[in-house]
Amino acid sequence: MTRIIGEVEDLPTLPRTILKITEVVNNPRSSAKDLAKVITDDQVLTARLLKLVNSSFYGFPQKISTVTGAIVLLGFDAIRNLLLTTSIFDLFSNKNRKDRFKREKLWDHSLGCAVGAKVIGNSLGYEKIEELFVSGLLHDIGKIVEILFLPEDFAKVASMVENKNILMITAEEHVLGYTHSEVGKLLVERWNLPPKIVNVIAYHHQPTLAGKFSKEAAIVHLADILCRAMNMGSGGDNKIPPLNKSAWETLQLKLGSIEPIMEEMEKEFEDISLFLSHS
Amino acid sequence: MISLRLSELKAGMMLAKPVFNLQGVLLLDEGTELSEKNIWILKSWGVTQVWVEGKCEADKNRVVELESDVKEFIEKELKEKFCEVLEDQVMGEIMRAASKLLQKRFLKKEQQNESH
Repeated sequence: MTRIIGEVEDLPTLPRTILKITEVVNNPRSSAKDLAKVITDDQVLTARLLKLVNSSFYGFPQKISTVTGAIVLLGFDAIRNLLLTTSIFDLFSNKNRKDRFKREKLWDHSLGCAVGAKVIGNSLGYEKIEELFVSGLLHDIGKIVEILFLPEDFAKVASMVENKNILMITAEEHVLGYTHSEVGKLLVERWNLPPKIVNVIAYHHQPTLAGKFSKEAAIVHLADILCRAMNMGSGGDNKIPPLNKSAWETLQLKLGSIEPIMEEMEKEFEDISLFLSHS
Repeated sequence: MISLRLSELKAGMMLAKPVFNLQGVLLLDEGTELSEKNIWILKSWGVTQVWVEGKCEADKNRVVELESDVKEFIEKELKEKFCEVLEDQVMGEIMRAASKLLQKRFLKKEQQNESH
């Protein structure tokens, strides 16, 4: 872990615009106009934003054609999360690296988990769905850091996963002595993301430790399990993590609601993939 | 009426057309119910394709066979994945729902392939 902290200086940075947007969103004195100005300075981001808010994923009945319109409809946090979504995507593309580990599969797994978190959140009547979505998308971001910055250690982890057919987190504990949850936490803290997202990433394997965010952590914990069961991408191993019993109780879901949740996930995953795909 | 390869024939199928050997000698007449022995005779005369009755029936059987193969495969893979966590009732339900969903996904893809 000390090595990681040493290398944390080189952790992937978010595009400057996203950092600026986070700053504006975190400042209580900012207005919609301030935020719109930062966004419209970046043409690519503006195009992505309008494409996504007009997708079936958000399901607004009327067409939204201006950035200000989108901000008013969705709110600051939602916009920040949405732009984060489109930027995080770039971190997952393989480019020219010869990774044995397929980052595209990890992206699909992350997207599946994000969709799962959204669907579970909806069925619980949870209000800030955006936050759940982004938390799901980022839950395994620590694995990306390991791939990029600790390639040799990560190769050892990957081969242990393969040889022993175990969960990646178990192999990480053996080989590295720390896990992708801890690495991910470091990264998003550096990105100044809100404590809720930080805690969900840090504790998606032990949701009860997430303090006042244990409900959100439990949602992503379950979403992680569901999208693995449904073969949405791959988290890098071929096992299902055990369900944390008290997390399940926190959610107060009925056994019978699992199947409809999974069906809805399947549908929404297809829809969102059209807007956020590698092709 | 459907034309089937010898390997697809099963005892109990009804010939829809007479079968001749290469010299034009009648081997089996139409309306004959195939037995294992009949099929073996056709094979030994070098027949490769015959017409049998009941297209839908044969097709349906093939789909059912395919479906049960797929189901078996999906359930085997899921059991492998879930083997250490199945004591939990919720995980059992998740596995059951996943199996159903993965089969549905497979059939949907099959249909899409067919329509293209």
